[in-house]
Amino acid sequence: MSGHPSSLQLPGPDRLQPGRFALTTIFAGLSVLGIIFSLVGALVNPTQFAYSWFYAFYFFFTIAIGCFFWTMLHYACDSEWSVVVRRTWETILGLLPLFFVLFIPIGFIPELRQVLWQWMQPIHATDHELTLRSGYLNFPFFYIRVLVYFGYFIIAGRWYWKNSVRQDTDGDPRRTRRMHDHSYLALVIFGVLETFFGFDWLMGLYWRWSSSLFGVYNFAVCVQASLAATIIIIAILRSGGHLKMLTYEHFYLMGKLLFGFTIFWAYIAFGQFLLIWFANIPEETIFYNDHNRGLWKYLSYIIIVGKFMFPAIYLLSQDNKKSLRALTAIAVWILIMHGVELYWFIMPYAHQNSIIPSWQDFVTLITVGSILGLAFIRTAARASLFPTRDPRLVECLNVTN
Amino acid sequence: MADNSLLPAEPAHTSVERHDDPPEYAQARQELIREPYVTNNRSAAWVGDHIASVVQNPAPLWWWIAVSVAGGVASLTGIGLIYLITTGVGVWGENNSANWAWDITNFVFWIGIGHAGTMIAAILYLTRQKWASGINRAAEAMTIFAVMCAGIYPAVHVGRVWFAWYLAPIPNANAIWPNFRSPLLWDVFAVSTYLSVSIMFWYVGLIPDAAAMRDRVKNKIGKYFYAVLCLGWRGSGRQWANYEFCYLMLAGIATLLVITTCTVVSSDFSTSVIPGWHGTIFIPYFGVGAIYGGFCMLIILLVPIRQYYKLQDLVTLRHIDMCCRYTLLMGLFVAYIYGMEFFIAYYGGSPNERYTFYDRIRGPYWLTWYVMMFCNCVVPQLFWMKSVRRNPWLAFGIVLFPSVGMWLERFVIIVSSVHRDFLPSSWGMFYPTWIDIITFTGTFGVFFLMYLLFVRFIPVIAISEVRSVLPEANPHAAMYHKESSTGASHE
Repeated sequence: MSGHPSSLQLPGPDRLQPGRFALTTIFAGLSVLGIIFSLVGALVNPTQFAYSWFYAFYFFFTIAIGCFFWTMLHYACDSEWSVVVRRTWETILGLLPLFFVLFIPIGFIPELRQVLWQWMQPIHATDHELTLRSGYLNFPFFYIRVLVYFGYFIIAGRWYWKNSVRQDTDGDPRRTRRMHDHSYLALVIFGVLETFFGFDWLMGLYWRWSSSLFGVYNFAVCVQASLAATIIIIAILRSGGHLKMLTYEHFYLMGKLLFGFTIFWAYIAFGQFLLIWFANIPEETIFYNDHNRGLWKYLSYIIIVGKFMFPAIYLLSQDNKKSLRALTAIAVWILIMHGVELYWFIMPYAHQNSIIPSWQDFVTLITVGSILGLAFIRTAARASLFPTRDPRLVECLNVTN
Repeated sequence: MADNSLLPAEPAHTSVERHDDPPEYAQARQELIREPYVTNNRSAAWVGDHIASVVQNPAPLWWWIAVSVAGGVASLTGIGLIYLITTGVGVWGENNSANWAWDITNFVFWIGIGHAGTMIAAILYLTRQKWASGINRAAEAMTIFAVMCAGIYPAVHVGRVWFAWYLAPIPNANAIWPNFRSPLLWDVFAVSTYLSVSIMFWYVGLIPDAAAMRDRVKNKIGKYFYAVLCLGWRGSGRQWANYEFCYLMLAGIATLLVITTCTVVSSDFSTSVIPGWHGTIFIPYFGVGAIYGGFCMLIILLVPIRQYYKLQDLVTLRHIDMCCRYTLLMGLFVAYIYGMEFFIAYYGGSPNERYTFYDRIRGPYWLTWYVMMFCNCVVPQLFWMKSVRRNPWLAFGIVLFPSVGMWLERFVIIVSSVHRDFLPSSWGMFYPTWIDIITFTGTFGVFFLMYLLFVRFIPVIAISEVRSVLPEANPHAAMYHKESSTGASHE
């Protein structure tokens, strides 16, 4: 970008028109078909449905929560580079009420929820191990927490999305200041809530096992996946002729962050494993025993190579980070690996001795993905695809690193 | 149909600021303008002259007083060590259940501060935090001296110090057979590697400034000293290109290394099965604690130096503000970690684990836990207020609390976890002896003495790096920053 920034011609609002976006129809069709097939699955094999639906839900929920973190981080750091990317995150925050709806089948239907979180089964009511934890693992408190998680993320996410979109019209810089001021507390609350929903839903799949690092691990999963998803969404929007003002500087920045958080994920995931393996306490090692039985062991190896080694080496190259095509390729790969990791985490509880993929795994993933994809397009269409009057927009367009 | 009512209808424009903006926007716009890294419109020449003057001018009286006091305090460590070596480790307060106590508490305390300096400098450099140019030299120097203080403890605690060389990575072919499964060896390997890389990182950053000093100093010995130090630096474009690439590489290596070293130090504890030590949260625990203690120490060092050497335009209120923010952030992280430890002790259901944490708050060492919580988790909350963060001496006073708190944290982790072990008949208490106390007190003298010498002979702020963030170095970016002359940070 040459010349003084004030001479820059700022781009006007960038609208997404759902009617002219091919994915709209595809997502709509898949949503309808997916819901029908999911219902069939729930009737035919409810146990498998519970796991498959939870898997699909958690796959996308981690991405949405990661986007919450990125938005808050943007405001807290008062950063300039992410202004044009931010609307994508905010749009995803606008989908959080839908996540609550998607949680209802597994969270509120007794037959399904007790498949996932076995401490809810009446048979365990008198289990001594459970009574030791009953101050935390009990129905009322579980649902209070569920409401707090969704309530906070929905309200805060919506508030940020609204303020940002309204700024497109009034250009009020006080909104930026206000969002900046609230972001610090939002990050603190985010840290606590993402830890506990990780405990409740993911770690809670086997309630006898616990790890004090699990909240950080859950965070690492969310952040890496959400950044990969952001890159993919931007690539799709650009292929449709949008967000053309992003330069290789922006891709480079996202590539560097993706590299950093890939290493961070590996550090946390490996550290957790190392300490448990080294101390060799049966109550702790049982988790890794269960997840390395039979064919599951090979999935562990795939995760080590696929989610850490390969992306880390690939992203070392500056060229791969600066090219959107190359960056998107690795983002897709990382997102696939995110799916593999969650599959490795969740499904051994459904099929202990071997990997037995079910058609429901794919159907639920496509269903939830299509519903969210459609909602994303409709929410994105309600405003410009980037904040047109953000006070840091000029800096963002001129960013160098 | 989607609701398009929120879409603005304006055409393309050149600025987000409009001529018809209401007047109430003006203040927010003013607040959004970035502050300068160097205040009062200082030129590149002034930056060089002013930083060099700290070294070139005769040492002020306060420096001589401070050196004398620090030297006197440092001698306490010398006395403590001589007495220890000539008598034996029995002069320390360790006993049968608390067989890890004072010495490793002090080791972890100093190594934490040691980790922080390089971590601050390298990570902030990698993440392009330009404000850090004003503090990174001071932070890196802090690393080296703190690691030296830390290194005293593993070396002398072995009892017969003349056998300490067994800890060196001697090939097994020499039949010395170091025990590679011992955490003591991990520490020696990790810390010695870390010290080497930290010195290298610090030294490489110093080269252009050493050359600047070579060209400035008049006396022959000084000229010779800086000429050797700068490795024949001439400042050509080619040298700069190689230098910057090298520095970037070292920053990357140092970042990985510092995180690894923190983790190795924490694994001294966490790989065990001792309740209170074995927790997976220990993976990031010591790194977070290190940065926390490090930022506190950095504020303690910077506030007097900027005041007495009149460096307020270079280490501005913004720098102090940023350091306070990081201190607050790290304070929140350690609070999170304390919370997780307690929660998992409860949730895990292990009676031993539960008792250890109960003992921390209700056992004989309860006071250390409460003081630690107050210092580390309560006091830093004052940094939520901008007026506090921008008051250097108030910030100085506040960070003294977490500095004490971080020492107590290590004491709580170590002593309160082992003084009551699995066998109640062997339960006991640890009390430090006077040798313990003077040896530790003296390390502060060692640290500050070396730091004062550093300030006297090496430019305390990286001249070349500060120059690179001046508006002169990047005129196109000037419009985002407040006019330096209006920068309000001059006290």
